[in-house]
Amino acid sequence: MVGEGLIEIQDTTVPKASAQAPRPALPHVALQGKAKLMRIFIGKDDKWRGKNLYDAIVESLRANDIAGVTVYRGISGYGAHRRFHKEKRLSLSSDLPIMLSVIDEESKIRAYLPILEQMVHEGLVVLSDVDVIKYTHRLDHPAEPQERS
Amino acid sequence: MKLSGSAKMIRVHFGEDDRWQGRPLHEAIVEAARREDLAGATVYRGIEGYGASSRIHRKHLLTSSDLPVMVCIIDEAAKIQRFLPILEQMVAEGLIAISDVEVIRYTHREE
Repeated sequence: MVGEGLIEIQDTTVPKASAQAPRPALPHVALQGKAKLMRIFIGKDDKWRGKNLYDAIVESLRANDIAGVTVYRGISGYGAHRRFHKEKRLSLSSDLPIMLSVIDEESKIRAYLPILEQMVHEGLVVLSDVDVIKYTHRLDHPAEPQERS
Repeated sequence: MKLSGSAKMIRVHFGEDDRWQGRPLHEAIVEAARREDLAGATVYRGIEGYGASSRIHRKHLLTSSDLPVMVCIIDEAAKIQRFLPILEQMVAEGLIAISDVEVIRYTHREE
């Protein structure tokens, strides 16, 4: 596991390159039973190497073969440094809250954490246990895992 | 402020049109969470759903829309427990769910 972790730390340079390179076909994955749900709370304006942090995280999750992720945009809130996120229709810059919901096996989530730590400078990452009931993976349209709770 | 290890997450589900003392309930809850010094709160709006009252929350073009709203709050168990009575008072009709979470990372930027 440590070996894998180290390899994946080196892979953190991959996400940007993988955005340009053709994506290899993802292997078929079937998840059943116990899994981990990871929620990542960040701001919409957070950046990673010049691009949106949430985009960068989604790409790096794909590059690291994590089963699935969904990005949610909140309408208001506050977080790590008590800045207030609020939707303002006329404002040019509104840093809305973003939540990424990631589900995979615990070992894969934990192996991914060192990569995430490099990318998320301020934010909250929380893990919880979930039972995965059903998961289908179509190669042409990667499916999102369904959480039933 | 640093939060790590095991913590609790509250998710409150209700309608966007729900109000508390004349203002949107989701705003009132976020403000109450700040006042109680909870680590963070985020409001999400769903696109469709139904809930406590069996009314369908869905956006209509011509009629009023009462979309589902979810407020997510995370902090240590003791602070969440202290906040619950306040929350229960505010949420007249809705669902409050609490779950265990493990907090991995939370940094406070110096400004």
